[in-house]
Amino acid sequence: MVISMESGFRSYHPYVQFCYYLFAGFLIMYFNHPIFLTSVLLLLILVNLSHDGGKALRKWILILVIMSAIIILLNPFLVSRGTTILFYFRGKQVTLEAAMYGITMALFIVNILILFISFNLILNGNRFLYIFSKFLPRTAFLIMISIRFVPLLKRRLDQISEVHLIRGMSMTTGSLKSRMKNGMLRMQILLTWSLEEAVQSADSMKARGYGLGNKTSYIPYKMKKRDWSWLITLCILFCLCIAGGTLGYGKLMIYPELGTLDFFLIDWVLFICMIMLVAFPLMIEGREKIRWKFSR
Amino acid sequence: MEKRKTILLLIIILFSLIVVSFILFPYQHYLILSLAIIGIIFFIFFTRFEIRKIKAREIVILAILAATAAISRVPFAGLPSIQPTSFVIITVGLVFGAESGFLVGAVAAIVSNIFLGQGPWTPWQMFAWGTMGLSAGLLRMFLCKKWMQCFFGFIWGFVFGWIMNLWIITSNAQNFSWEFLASVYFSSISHDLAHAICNVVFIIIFSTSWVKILQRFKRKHGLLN
Amino acid sequence: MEIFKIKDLSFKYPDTEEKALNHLSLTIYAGEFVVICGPSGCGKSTLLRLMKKDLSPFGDTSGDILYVGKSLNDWDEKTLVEDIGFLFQDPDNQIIMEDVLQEIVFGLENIGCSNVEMRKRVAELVHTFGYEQLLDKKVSELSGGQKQILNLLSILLLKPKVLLLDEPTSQLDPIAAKDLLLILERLNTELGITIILVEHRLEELFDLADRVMMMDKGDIACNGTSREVIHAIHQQQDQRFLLYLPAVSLLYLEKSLDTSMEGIPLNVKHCKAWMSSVSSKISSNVMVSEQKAISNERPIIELKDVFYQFNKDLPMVLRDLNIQVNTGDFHAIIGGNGSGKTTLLKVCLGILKPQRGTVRIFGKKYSKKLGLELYKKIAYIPQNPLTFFVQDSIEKEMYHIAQERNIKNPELIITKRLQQLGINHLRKKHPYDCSGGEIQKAALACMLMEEPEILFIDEPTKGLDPISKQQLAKILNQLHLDGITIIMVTHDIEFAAQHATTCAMMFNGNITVEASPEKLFKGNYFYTTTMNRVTQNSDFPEVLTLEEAKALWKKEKLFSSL
Ligand SMILES: Nc1ncnc2c1ncn2[C@@H]1O[C@H](COP(=O)(O)OP(=O)(O)OP(=O)(O)O)[C@@H](O)[C@H]1O
Ligand SMILES: Nc1ncnc2c1ncn2[C@@H]1O[C@H](COP(=O)(O)OP(=O)(O)OP(=O)(O)O)[C@@H](O)[C@H]1O
Ligand SMILES: [Mg+2]
Ligand SMILES: [Mg+2]
Repeated sequence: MVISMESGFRSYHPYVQFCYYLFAGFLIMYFNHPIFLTSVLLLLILVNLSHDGGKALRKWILILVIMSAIIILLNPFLVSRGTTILFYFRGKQVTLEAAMYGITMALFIVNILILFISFNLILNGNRFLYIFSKFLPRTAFLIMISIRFVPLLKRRLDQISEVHLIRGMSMTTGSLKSRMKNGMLRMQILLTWSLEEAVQSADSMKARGYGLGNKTSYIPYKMKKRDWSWLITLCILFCLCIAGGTLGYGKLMIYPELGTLDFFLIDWVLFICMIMLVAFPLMIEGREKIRWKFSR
Repeated sequence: MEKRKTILLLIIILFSLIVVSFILFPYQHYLILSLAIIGIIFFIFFTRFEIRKIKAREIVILAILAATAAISRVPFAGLPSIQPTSFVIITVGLVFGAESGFLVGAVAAIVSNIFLGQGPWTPWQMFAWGTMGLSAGLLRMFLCKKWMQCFFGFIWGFVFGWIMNLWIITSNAQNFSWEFLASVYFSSISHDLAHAICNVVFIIIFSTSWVKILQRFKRKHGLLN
Repeated sequence: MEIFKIKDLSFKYPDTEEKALNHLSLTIYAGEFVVICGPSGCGKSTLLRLMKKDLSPFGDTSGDILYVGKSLNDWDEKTLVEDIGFLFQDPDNQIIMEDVLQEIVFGLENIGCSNVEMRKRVAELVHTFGYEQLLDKKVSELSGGQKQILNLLSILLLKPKVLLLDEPTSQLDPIAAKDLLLILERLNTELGITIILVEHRLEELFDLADRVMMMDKGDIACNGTSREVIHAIHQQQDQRFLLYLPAVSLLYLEKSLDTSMEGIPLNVKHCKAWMSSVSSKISSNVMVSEQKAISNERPIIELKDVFYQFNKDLPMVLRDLNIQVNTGDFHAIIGGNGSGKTTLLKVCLGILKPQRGTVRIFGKKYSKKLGLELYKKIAYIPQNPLTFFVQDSIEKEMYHIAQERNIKNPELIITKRLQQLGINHLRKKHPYDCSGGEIQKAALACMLMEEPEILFIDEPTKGLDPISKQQLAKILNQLHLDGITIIMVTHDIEFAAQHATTCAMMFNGNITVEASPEKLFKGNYFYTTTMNRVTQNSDFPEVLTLEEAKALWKKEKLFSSL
């Protein structure tokens, strides 16, 4: 029902999506060439835009910009490794290498975070658990219900706070110690109360046969042909990248002396492989858009 | 006893794995490597959790405990440096034992990050809080005295910060220098100290009553022994 | 066919002296609708849980429970899970998953049902109950009644042969409760599912039940068809059970000149038929029932044009709400689940700040400075009184409050309050070990330490047996007489009609009517008492409660016998 309405990247099998995030994440950690990372950054922003028009990304943008600015500015002053000295600051050498390293570092972190934002949008809740529950069903279930309990506990905590407010046990006035005490008292009531209620939830699970074994799933995720073909393509691209990487391509030598930014032939091959891999959701969305246009 | 031996053995194996890998690989892939090691640790505990005989009630209780630990910051929203999650995790470890402590710690990290933002630091946080619960459970026979608990909580306030610093270090492997290491660790001291003091304060005021609550509950329903 | 046969069953919880069940024997036939009732603590829940093997409490059991001729222990687990469904009291706690669909199929997934079969069952049942539009929602968006139906659906998908229900309607508003009971009746008559239901609010249930069982102290005190049980209890005049009987039957038994067991009315229809057969003897000389004590017209709480929403993205919970409570009122607020009653109380208390409108209490607006001073004059018992307790015994809690508020002579006040509420024997008990009624009273005792002027109380009667309810009513009436203004939220219309001086009905975030109970309830179809439904549009003067009816009738009967 809900599932069939989903289109584009979201309609693919969770395994394929998971592999995409795994591979992309790995490659971002693996390659440190600034050009690689910059192109990945652009692609990932586009990927995020294609999910929800950048709504989720917008919330993070300020943090990302500040964080990368700090890393880029701070690194050369903190680290004095490297041989190409730009200038001296308070008697310490500031090197080109360290500056470059700051830039790749910032790119790396921003990339990973943006990838995570996309991950949270696509592989949310059920899908992520679906992957997990193949290997670790009980753990997946544990995590899922913990997450589900959070809003419930928050609501209960509100109720407790309200009663405390009327009893004059405040969190906004008083000494730090009394505030800490009041806060923790709230947590204590929450704990006692929730444990008691949780027994009922457990009983209701038990009454409906939790733990009988061989669980089935109502939402059928089936690997279709297109899922298989994409999965294989992704794997091949990934292997190529790793193979090239072990030969030392796609990486920038930074310390002790900055290497060349130039691309060799194999660098180009790796670059294209990586771009294709990272752009996978974009290709799918694009293809679907084109199909829509033509079918109308 | 058997259980403790296996855990000890595992820790030794993992430690030697880290040492070997430091020698075998040149200093570039620490990040991937350390993530792999953390992954293995999780896998071991989680598979144990999978195959163990466990009641539905116990799962739900663990979930509630993890969720409680994760949202324990909420009442302190106006006091940014107060971090009660560790206290909750330590108490759980003390009452319900090492494995439950680990699970609650690890899951609490995931849960709290779902609302604060999941990121590359999640596995590290899971690891840090997980081992915090684990160690509280393993050492629980030595931790019956209050001052011991305080000491334990104080130490962990720092160890937690140090483990979290590791993700900065490992993801910066090429940058590595002792100076850099020192600066990272130095910059986190005030934060770690606040964490440690929080732990101690909470343990002094609340550990007795929390342990009592959890123990009463455990007895009443015959859980997680 | 005997579906359950319980032989000489005894059960004792660990660390207790008394047996929760005491040599209980009982047979239930397939397709029966059995209602079990009895005072709090008589072992109803324990019995029900023992019948569902997965939920058997921990303790010493002796005796045997046979399900379709075989002991429960000899059945394989999966069959039992599928065959015997269990619905609990609290709608929220039973829900595990986040999405409605996921929750509905939770049981099916667990028993390893094939995908085709699952889809078939879901489609059929969801359609039958008209639940389609809720399928895509999140569980948190549902109202209490919808949640309870969701829980029922989730069990029904397993195709149970027996349904065990432990006070399923106690948290629901009258309409939602009725809906649930209608579904149960349908399941029973159309599908032949055996239903065993434990409940305290019985007005309608006597009519639905094939068999009623009264339990007392771990054994069955009375067992038979509804009419047999009603008759027997009335003969014995046993005060504990008398309160359980439906008003219509009681009226008949008290006032009919020639009572017969077959003639006992069980619902409004029967009662009206009986009354029309006797009404010729009643003159139309209508007496106006006397007014309850009129409060003075000094407003103590005033809300003007209040709007409230929890969040910008969420709908308004309170819309354009006006309410005025006068000093000395006993004000009852009724309304459906999720209509905003609890929210209204919190706005009155100043816990929630309305986005628009003004709230005045004692003629003043809330402000930070006034806050604590005001709260000394206010007592609030939340919907779940467990939120209240910090300490691990009731006594300690009260000492804690005394210390916080610098009350002198705490021992004296504590003992006085505890005795006044009749819970002095509980003072050393852990709040979480108390029953629902007891904890309600304990919270009340704590809140009354400071002699407040206003008492806010949220659903005090939920899950209480009739006796505790009567005790609570007595306490509240006494407090009211002592001059405390009481504002009560409740689902129990009979309770509100009997004791409140003013009632307000909430609908969709607004107070639609505010009047004395007589004015408010008379003439309603469903939001009214059974007695009123009986006497509406009849030759008999319209009344709200059984007491009123009895009082009036006495005069009439004297008159007609002359
Ligand atoms: N977990 C428990 N441990 C010890 N005693 C218990 C426990 N649960 C119930 N009891 C006791 O067993 C008796 C029967 O309890 P039970 O819950 O079956 O009553 P009930 O008829 O369902 O009451 P209510 O109408 O309040 O739900 C009571 O005296 C109660 O105090
Ligand atoms: N903390 C909250 N955050 C968001 N929405 C809430 C919150 N509390 C209540 N609501 C919503 O506000 C509406 C009114 O809730 P409220 O608790 O006031 O209803 P109620 O009339 O007391 O219902 P009940 O009879 O079930 O207790 C409901 O739709 C509920 O889902
Ligand atoms: Mg009960
Ligand atoms: Mg309410």
